Amino acid sequence: MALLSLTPFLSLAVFGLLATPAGFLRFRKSKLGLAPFVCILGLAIALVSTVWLGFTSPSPVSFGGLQVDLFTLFFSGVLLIVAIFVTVASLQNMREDPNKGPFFGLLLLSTLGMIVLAASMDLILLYVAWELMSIPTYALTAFRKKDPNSNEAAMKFFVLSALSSALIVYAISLVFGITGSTGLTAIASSLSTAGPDVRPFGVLAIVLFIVGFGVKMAVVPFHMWIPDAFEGAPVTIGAFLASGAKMAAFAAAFRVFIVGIFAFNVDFYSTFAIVAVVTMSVGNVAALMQKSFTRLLAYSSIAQAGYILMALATPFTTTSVPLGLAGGLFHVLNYAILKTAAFIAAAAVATKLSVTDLDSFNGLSRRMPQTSLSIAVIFLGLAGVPPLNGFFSKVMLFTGSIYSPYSWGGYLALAALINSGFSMSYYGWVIKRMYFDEPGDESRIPEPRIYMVVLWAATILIFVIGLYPDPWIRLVQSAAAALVGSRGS
Amino acid sequence: MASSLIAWLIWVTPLVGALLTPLFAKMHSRVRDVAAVGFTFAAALLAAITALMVSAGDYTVSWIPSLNITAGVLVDPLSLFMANIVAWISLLIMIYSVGYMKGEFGLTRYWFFMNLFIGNMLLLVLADNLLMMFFGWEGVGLCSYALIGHFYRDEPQYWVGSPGDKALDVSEEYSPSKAGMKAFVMTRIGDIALLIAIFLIYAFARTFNYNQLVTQLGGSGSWAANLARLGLLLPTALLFFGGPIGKSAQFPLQEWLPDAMTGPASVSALIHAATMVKAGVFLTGRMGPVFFIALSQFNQVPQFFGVIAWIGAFTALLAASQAAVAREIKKVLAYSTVSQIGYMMLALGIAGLSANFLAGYTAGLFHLLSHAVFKASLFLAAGWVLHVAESRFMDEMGGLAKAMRVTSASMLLAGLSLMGIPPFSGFWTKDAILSVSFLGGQYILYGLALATAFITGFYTVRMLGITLAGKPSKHVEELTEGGKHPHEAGFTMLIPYLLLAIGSLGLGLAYPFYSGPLTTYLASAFSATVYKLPAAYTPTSGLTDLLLLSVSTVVAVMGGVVGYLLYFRKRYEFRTDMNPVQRFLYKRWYLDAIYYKVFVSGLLAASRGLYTYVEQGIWNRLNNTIARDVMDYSRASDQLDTQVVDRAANEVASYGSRLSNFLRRLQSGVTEQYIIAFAIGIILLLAYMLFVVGAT
Repeated sequence: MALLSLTPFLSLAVFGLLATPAGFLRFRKSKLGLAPFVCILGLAIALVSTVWLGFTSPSPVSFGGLQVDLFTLFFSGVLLIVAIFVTVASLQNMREDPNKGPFFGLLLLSTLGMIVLAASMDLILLYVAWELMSIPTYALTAFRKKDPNSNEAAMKFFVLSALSSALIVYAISLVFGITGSTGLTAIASSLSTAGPDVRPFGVLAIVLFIVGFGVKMAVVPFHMWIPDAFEGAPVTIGAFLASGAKMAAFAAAFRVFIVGIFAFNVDFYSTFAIVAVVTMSVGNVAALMQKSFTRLLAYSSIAQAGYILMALATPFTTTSVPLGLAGGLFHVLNYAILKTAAFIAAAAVATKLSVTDLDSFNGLSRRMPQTSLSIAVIFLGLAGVPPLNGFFSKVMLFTGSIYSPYSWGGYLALAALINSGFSMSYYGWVIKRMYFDEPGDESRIPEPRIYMVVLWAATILIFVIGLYPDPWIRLVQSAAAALVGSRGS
Repeated sequence: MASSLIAWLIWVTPLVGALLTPLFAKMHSRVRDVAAVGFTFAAALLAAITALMVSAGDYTVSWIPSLNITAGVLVDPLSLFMANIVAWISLLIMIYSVGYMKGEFGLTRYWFFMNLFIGNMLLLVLADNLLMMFFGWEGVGLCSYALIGHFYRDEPQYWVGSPGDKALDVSEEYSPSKAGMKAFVMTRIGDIALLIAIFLIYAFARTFNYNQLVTQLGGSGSWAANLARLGLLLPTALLFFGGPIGKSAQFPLQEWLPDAMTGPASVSALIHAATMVKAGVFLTGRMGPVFFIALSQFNQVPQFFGVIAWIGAFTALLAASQAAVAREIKKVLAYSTVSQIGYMMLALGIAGLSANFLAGYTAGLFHLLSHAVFKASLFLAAGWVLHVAESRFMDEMGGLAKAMRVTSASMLLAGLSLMGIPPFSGFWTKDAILSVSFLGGQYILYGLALATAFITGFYTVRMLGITLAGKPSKHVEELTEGGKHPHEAGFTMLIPYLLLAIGSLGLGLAYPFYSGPLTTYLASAFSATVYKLPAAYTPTSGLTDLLLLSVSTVVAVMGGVVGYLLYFRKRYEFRTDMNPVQRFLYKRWYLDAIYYKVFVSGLLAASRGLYTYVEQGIWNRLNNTIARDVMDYSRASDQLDTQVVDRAANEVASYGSRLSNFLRRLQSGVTEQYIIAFAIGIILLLAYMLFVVGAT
């Protein structure tokens, strides 16, 4: 029966392999072919089994280095929702593309990598999952092979991503050298007794982990590929990178730092605090300066990464469910929904206007009312305006930081609050453009129905989570507890 | 249960109404208008029923048990007092809107945001915890922003400021959309301070609930004690007060309100005179006693309440002085609103500074009531006046009283109340504030308030004189010749402001009868078991009281006489060559311009600098100039080589040139710079961890 716990992984693997050949098959009249449906089926089975597992067998099940616990299931739920949104939205912009099979196949395989990443309790498995997640995304970023921007973006993404993989491998080897193990619990018990002579190597490993994960998490100054990649990649893949890959990288960082490295007597919390403040500040300031919508989204996603990093900057005791960590996971959930929806809204605008510079958003509310409304809701959610979902995760993150045993916790919360207020300036600016500025062209633009389905689903979720956050908070609290529980005794 | 449901419905009803507006609009525009007013009427009725029939209490339901947060409606004298003011004045203004907004575009949007506003405002007032209060607080802010910018097409007649107005080269003219943005950003500053304070309180008290905050005050382990131990109690209180400063447009965040007058007059009356700007006073009234008890355990009361009182008194004088030279009728009223709210803040501050907390406290709240009534009336009437005169400038009105006797009478009644002339309600409540500051021993504050009373008398008479009395201006004469005779408003508009003006008189006449019971009622919130306030209300000796009454009245009348001599029976011309004092006041003490330079331009410049130097990098810019040359060259050769027909900028031609192009860009160093930044990042992190952290 324990094998049932692997259903999400198996479903993604099997359907991922099926999707590519299925791309060559098609219904008689449909342009779409079978690949997207195989893809959605695989994701749906995975999501349903994830939810089912979460309700029926919340106690952790281990398969060597792969651990299926509530933390894993939480992340796989989030990532699968993102993947489903992206797949559905891709039905629209991949309609004319002849290579649907590989596209959806790669999407599934990358998703598989992400959820394995969240399940990894072993560094080798973690690395394999990391690569399984990354390699398909290079191809997906460069999927418009005739578009030089897409190629350039993929190239930059690839170079920096390869660098990050290399750093992670280096960090893993250092940790292995110190502890003689690749399992996270074994590493923890061995690190807690590590002598001062290995200390510099341990510190180096920590830095390399931060940098390696940081590239995908969009940590400043390792974020520079992000605006380029999001702008160059097909828009739905932008959503996939911004919400999927980034959140998976956070999952990896949570596992490695909170289960493994915490035992090492080095204060990496303040490092994360500094990195968090720098990341959110640079992201917010740079976002204000952008003239293109996708670049603005890219920088806002960098700023949001800064907030989530606060969860790693709050140490806690194992006795209670850590508020900051739960807040971080909650923000992961909210951010994933908000950002995916934001990119899909951008896709809706981009496919119809073929540009996404902010001037084309002037008076958009009269041209694309549904898209504009959802962008407004999403932006208010990202800014943390109550009663939308982003508010409560920020409340938890910031309060968690105030509870921090370190005296700088309050200042971290203060910096985040000021940042959060500052971010309202550019979110508000876009809303003002959409609702109060005169459009250059008054004509009504038909809004792609598939995008609207995703946008409305996301908008409703944003309100539901914001108005009744309790079940979601209990979910993230138990996920956080599961993560802390996966520490060795 | 049923009774608590009524209390809940007070704020839910208008929100539901707002959400249903688009549906009603689909049926018929008439249905939409009637339904919008109907929902507000329902809310007002519910508020009245709650006040009469629902017993006081905290009606909570479970909301987020995982964080120990409940949702609830707090029915107590303060919330009912405020909720009834808000709901009933809202109703009158909604009725006025039916006539006033007839034929304007975007009416569905207008009704939606009006009802959304009313719902959020009632939520703010009735919430039993800081979190829900903050929801309402943000909600009214958003609605205010949307309604200020209602005429987002920015036609010149909806602007605020004279054409070409400048201070320190910063334009003082505001279009509706710009004013909306300004209001939003400026109140945001206060909101962040408020939010920080709320977080701090929650972090230490682990609750947002007002009653729990009060009951957990006692003892050495209380949240206040824990905050005080870290030296954070006074900062928390002051940060908390930042929210009211922003929302109620007090110094130093007073500058957004005058420009918010770009909205329709009904919006100005509802949001920027009667209700939303009072939210700050309300919140200070709500949490003031809590902070009073908390701070009194650590002898920090005078610092906090001193700040409130001084900010209030200073703002009152500052804004009144600006009203004395303003050119636009709505701006006079806006400055006057800021100034009057300053009075209320002064009263709340005095409450903490004097031995008699309740005297100052109720004086502030009474003034809130009387100001809401007469200022709403003035705004609504002014809305009609500027509609008739087809101008927002007072010098383009004049002599309107002959044709508009009822409107003029209504404005006169409300104006006398604003001046503080007996027996209008404004007289009693303003005098109460002046007396408590005198009796509380705050003679400088009393002086400031008295000076404000003088200027208030002056600018009120000036406004009435220029617009209604005197000779018709050229503009009005031209209108009359063109066949547009000034005339009275229709009943839907006339009745609301007339009713409010008469109400102001009625409240004044009845004041001696209801003030005592209402004071007792408001004081009953502070039952000795919970609040332990110095609650005994001791009336002062008759003679002192009478003396103070006559002083404040005489001063206001003197101001009025000066205004009368200068502005009645004359044709007023607006002159740009002002004397230095006038110019200083007219340019708003240059505060607006300085803020703009420092905060808007400064912040943008700082962001831009940070972005270009930190984000794009100095080396990036250096390399980019070289890269651009290379790119230009390659682009030119591309076009020559391939002779593409469509030369849209984002299309590059052949595969070969594309490949070379992106390789060129890669080699031009962009990616290299990323890796350099990468390396620097690693080195910095390593250095930090090894030398700063590792040292432990």
